[in-house]
Amino acid sequence: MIQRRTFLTAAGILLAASSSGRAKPAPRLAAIDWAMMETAIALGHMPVAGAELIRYRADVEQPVIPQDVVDLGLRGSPNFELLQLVRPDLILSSPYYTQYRARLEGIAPVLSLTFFVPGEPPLPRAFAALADMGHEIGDTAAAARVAEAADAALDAAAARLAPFRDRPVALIDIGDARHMRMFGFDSLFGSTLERLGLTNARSQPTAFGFMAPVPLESLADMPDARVVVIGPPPLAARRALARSVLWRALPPVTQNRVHALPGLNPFGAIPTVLRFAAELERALTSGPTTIA
Amino acid sequence: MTRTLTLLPALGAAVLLWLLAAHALAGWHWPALPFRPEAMTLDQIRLAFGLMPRGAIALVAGAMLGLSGAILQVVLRNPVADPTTLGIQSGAQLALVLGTVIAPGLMEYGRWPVAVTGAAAASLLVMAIGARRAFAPVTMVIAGMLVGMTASAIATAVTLSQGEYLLSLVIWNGGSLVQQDWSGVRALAFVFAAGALAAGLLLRPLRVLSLGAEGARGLGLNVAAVRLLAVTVALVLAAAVSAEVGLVAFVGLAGPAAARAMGASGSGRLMVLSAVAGALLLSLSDGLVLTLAGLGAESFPTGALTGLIGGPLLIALLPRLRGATPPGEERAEASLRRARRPYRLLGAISAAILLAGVVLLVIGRVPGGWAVLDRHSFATFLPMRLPRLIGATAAGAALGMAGAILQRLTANPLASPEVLGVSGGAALGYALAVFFVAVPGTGTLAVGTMTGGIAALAVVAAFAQRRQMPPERILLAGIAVSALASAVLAAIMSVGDTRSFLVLAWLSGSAAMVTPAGAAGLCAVVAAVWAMALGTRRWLGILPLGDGVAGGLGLRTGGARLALVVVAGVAVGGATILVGPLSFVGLMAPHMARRMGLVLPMDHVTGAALIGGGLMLAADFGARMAGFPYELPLGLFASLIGAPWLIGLMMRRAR
Amino acid sequence: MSLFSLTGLTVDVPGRRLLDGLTLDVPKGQLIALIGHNGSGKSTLLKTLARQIAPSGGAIRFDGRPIGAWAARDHARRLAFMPQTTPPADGMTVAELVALGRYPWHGALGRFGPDDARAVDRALAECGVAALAERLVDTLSGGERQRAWLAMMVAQGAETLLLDEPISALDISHAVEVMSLVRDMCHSQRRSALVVLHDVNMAARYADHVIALRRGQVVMQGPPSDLMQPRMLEQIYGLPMQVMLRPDGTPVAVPA
Repeated sequence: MIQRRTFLTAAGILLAASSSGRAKPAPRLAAIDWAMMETAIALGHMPVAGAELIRYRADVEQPVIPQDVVDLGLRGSPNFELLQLVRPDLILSSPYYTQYRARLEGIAPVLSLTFFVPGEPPLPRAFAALADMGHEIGDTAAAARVAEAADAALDAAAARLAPFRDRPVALIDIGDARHMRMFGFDSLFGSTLERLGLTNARSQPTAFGFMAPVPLESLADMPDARVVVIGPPPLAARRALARSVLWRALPPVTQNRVHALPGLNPFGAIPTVLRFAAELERALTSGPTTIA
Repeated sequence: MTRTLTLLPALGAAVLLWLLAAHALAGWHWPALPFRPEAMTLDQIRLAFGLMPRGAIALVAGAMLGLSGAILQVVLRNPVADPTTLGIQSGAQLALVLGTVIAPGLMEYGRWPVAVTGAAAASLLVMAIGARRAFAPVTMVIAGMLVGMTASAIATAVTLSQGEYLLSLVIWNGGSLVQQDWSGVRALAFVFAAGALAAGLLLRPLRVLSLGAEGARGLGLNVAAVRLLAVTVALVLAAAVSAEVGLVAFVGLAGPAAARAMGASGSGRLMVLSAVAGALLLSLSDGLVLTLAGLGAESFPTGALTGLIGGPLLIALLPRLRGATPPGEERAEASLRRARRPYRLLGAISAAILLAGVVLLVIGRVPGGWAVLDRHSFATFLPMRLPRLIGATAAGAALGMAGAILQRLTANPLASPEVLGVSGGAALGYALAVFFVAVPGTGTLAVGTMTGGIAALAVVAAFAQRRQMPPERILLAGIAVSALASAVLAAIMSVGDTRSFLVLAWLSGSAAMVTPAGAAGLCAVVAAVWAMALGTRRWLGILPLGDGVAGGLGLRTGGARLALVVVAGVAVGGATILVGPLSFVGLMAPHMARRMGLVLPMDHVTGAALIGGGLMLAADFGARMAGFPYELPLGLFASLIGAPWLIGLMMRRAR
Repeated sequence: MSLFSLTGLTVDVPGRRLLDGLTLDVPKGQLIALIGHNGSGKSTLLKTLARQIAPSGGAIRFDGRPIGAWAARDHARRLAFMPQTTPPADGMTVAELVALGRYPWHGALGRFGPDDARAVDRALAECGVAALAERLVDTLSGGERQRAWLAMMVAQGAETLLLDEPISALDISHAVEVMSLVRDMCHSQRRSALVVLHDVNMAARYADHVIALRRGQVVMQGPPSDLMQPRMLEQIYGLPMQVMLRPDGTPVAVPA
């Protein structure tokens, strides 16, 4: 019994100590929302705990989350007891999780910022989040510095991407051999695309990129576009596309205008924006690929 | 024969809608046969390799589902049998989800083998359950829906655990008919031809089988072999459609229903007309989807549209089930054991639950191992743990009582809250609140859930009140309401966005959100329901003896049933907010109480409440600990315990 | 006053007329057999009298009042009904089953008082199942089970018993045992019993009065001696019948 009790206290201390290597006592952050987590990371404040890290590490890869960051479980139902044990100074959340806001506020102050608003481009909000969070954690200097650096990086990327302004870009995510998801101006990717001076082939909103899948053949309605495929398509889809008469007849495919990007977090923040810009630049400049 | 002509307007409408879409695409410049892509414009290719195979696959898949439903209805002599109600499509769904997630390598060889395996496993289970009860139609449908619900719940939870990355599964669940070449049509046409041929060969044995198993056996027919063959044919037809285009629900129910409405009576004409009607129905639905998409509306998968017809259709078909259950076939497992001292037994169970509750309050997992809380941690965690434990226990108790009441009310051992439709209605209410209220708070969500549950209950109660309505028919009305609710839910989700995941998360249930007030409220519901059961204990004793006896004793069965359905509905509605719509606790707890020898109405209801509470307490602990720190959905965890138990129970020979 | 008085009673189901304008008076204090061929409407008539089926036309008076006018529990105190197949009494003892017969007296919430307990004891004794009181109903033999159900009807305290083919599933010795019990219940306690029977010889042997139906209409009503005539039997069953006399003088009908 005593042994176990000691153990529990030790575990608490361990968790409490996990990020106290800094000179100035930095606020202990716990992130429920991935965009908030990325914003904190961008500010140089690695949270002590984050939600669904297994999935994040597998699918998003960058920025790298150190192994000592505590995994809080599913975003949809985080482990409140563990969160309590972590003793955060500030919990980073978003309006998606309002249903348990009261519960979170019982543990620590909550900072909830909005990234995605129907019909609005999310990029300005991702920048605003830097400032808001910087203000909240008392590190406005970092916020200004990071925002400036990000702006500069996007400007530079935009300049290098200028030769590609001749054609609109269709940002898609292939679901199966017959369907895809499109990213419009109201998605993080679409919003960044415009910041880079490129035109989105899709003009209607897409519910942040979460819209219902559309048939692949709707690409025929944008014959001039460069197609940028975000994330690797499923194996079965790749095989079926290779045989598909319709896919092979699509102008972007016949004219070699398909480019592939690695998996990115569609609901991320500034780190994802910068990574998307860099990957897009790499994909467009290094030339088309055959994804099928 | 003239009534068959009513098909013509449907055919005309389907063709017209398709031609409209074709015209919008390629005007009058149709490609010439044979199709040579290199000589065609892009729009001609879209017509020849997109729209044409799409029109063809709607016809073929619809015909396959119609034929599959007709075969199942003939062989099971059950007018509401179809690949959806018998759980076949959900079995295929679960197999495909598991395949995609666990062994994507398997999926490389195509979806077919995986889907057929899953469908076969599901239907084998349903048939095995049915065989124990002489394939009684109501039992078959209830068993099928339970197996189906479990399969979809697990599939949902797996999809949820994969975040948004299983786009292909979301697409598949919708059942989209979009095509890009003729390969799908070719494959389905081949299966359809083989299936139709097999059905033709089976026609004469099936006609003999329509005399009933005994009669057919007397004529020298190998009943088991014919049943197995016929069900296999129906299964392969449905699984093939599932694998190729996804979940297209209820066409197999609607096809034969339309065929019967046109006066098809013999097995042969029923099969042919069902296939024709199914083909037209799916074509018409797809034509509507095409037209809507052409008008710039959001893209909406065809399968989700046909799902919407299921609920109303089931309700419309209920009167056909007259006298469908052979007497004595639906009886519960005879419990010849009775507890000699029921109060002592109930006391022992209560003590065990209390003890378990106290233990669970102080132990738990921390990163790296297990721990008993010290005083300080205990003080910190108590406000979080106590409401949760109490809430989960109370929810289990409410479900257990609702199950006991429903099983007594209907004299059907498969009756459970899942089947009553309240859960489905509540889920729909929750989803609507999430989708139509900008930032729904807990209060709004509770109101939405309650309203949905009560609305579903009102529909079911309307059925319960009709004169001469056998109690098991109430269950089917509940199933119809569930089916409608889940179809609307699926339709909402297939158009989905991030809010879908809120709904998905809730669907599998979690006790983490229980507030002290919520837990107290649920306890009040439990107390009220128990008191109401106490007040109606004599009805609960008499109603299982059937209408004849109950009426003879001067019990107004209509009113009594209505009152008990409302009591059960309140209990389920309260519990559903917490644990989600599926848990099987309401099915398990009354059976376990019974097997312990708690037979008299109040012993049974009280025992079911205690056991239900204990089960949910255990499920909550398991859900929190099994995947620490990932908290598994409570309802799902409970049904993972419940489903195998349920299957074992139903496989046991009655008597 | 007659027990039941029917005027123009008609019962329809979609596409078929089960009872066709029945007008008759059913006497009190007797064991009355309802006979007829399959589908003649005898069970339908019994269920209509028991208020299990609503008539489509005509009127029924029970004990001088229209049957619809009786409140449910009042009705049940006067009339008890046993369906053709008694449902499984899952896990119930005989005493518990018989106690259910007191429902019309104490209702959903009333106390199960000493009067109720006495009525149950008397019923158990009268039907000869007192020794089986603690046995589970489902473990009894067919005859014992029928007697237990009869005891429930006795406990109900009703003076009128309606039984739908109570002996169709019993072997001959149990059938005789149950019918003797029913006859005693009528004669010694002045009850009336209306019993659907399909065995014409059992009807002749036990009934005081016989009502015969054919295609939803009454073909005869009167004492068993009127029934046991070859011409009458042929009219009822549509089959030539022969009536033979046993040594003790009682008639037995067999198909000719």
